[in-house]
Amino acid sequence: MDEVTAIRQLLAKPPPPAPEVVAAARARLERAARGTGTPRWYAPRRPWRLAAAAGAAAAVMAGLITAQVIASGGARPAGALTVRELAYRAAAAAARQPAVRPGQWVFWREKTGGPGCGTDCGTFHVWTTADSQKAAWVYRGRIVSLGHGPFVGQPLPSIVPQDRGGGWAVGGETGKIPVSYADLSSLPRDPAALGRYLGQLSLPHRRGWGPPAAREFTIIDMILTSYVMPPRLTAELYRALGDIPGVTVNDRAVDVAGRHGVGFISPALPGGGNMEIILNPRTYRLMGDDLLWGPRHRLLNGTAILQKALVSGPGVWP
Amino acid sequence: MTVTAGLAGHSETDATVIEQSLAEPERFAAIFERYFSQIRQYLARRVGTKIADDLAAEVFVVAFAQRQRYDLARDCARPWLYGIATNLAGAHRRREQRRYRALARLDARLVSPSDEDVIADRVSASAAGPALAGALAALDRGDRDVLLLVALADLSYAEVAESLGIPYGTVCSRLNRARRRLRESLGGARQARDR
Repeated sequence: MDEVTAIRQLLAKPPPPAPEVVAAARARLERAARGTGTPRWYAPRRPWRLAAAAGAAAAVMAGLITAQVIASGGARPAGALTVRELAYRAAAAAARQPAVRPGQWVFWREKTGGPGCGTDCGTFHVWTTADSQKAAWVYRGRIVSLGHGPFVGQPLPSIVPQDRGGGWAVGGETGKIPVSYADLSSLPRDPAALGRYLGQLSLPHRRGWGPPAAREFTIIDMILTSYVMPPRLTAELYRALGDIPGVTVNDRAVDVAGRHGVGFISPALPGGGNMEIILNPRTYRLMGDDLLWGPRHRLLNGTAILQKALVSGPGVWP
Repeated sequence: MTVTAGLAGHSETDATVIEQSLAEPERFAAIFERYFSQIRQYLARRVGTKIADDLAAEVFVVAFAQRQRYDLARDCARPWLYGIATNLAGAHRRREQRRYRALARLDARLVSPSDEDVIADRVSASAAGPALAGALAALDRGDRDVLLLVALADLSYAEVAESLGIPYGTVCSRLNRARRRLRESLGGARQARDR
């Protein structure tokens, strides 16, 4: 049997779509054809001044003029944070974290989930170095290396059932983070310059991928969820998030572990969807990230950081 | 627009329908009726049915929005639609890779074909599942897109080139590389089983 046949059998044909699925797709096309309900990632982005003015007008109508209307993300309802406010709170929280060295071991306990997660959802734990060069986990009481990084996010180890050969396997997102840990310290210090720099980097396997704003957000998400950085660098990345055009705040964010948080929602990604970086609403520390879909930002899949702690070595529990 | 049944027997080419849809948007419904099921099937095999239901609908919204750019010299819109679907699936790379790993853990006994040859092939495919799925996940995105358009969408090399907007020679080289890597992984899996 050749490999093409093997693929056809591995990725078996699904049952035909349910009538309501086809009907919903037809209705969506009809809405698009009527010019209403067009997914917003195809809508032209308004100049920021217009967006800000519209936001301000809405606030006047409600008698709730917020003190600050900013370019990125537009106005927010009273009581909610603007994108830049959230970015600066996150930066301040990051700046208070302890210093780390590149080889510092970090314990992670994470949960992957969401309706688009399939059967691969679950909680796992892993140890990585701060620079994501090394990773390990404990299998049958022994510390096992998971190979060399850097890893995008954390490597995802799992036990292979005995009837599938037993042992363990490691998964996780492949690819390459466009900024190496060693290069982090040479990134521009000014948030605007940092944004311009990140926005022009290429994403591995995603040549020509998206406008600079989507690219910048994605790269920052990769860095924040993969590395544990010196506090100053983490703070600068959060500040840069606050300046990305099109980023919005979701003050009703919920991570895949069901915890409530506050999220930065990315500009539309090429091909649809948005990324969300979720922070703890009290401490403003990173809780996880999600991939959202559709105008209502429905969760597709995501990762929640349940525990992250600096430890003295691989296999050492916090 | 009210989407109605497609044109019986495809009496008009896709290019004609798309051209007409520029003035009469409702004509685009015929493209939806002709291809929705197969596009959704392709996406479901890559990213799973739940996401595919949404993505397949999105393919036709995107196609409708981009129909002015359709090359009317091409009678068949199938490669164009698969290209859009492939691009949309690209935003779900992490999800796709998780799916491969999940599939690799499926038990061969869950497959119950009727034909003995098919049984042998499926058992073989299932036994090689972990290696195959792992190799698929490890492929470069461009290589994997080409391979899956050939394997799952039954596109010819020329259609894949049209679909992805890449030269014919690039399709051949990507496909060769992808197949070689999968062969190596399958060979490795067989050797491991034989030991």
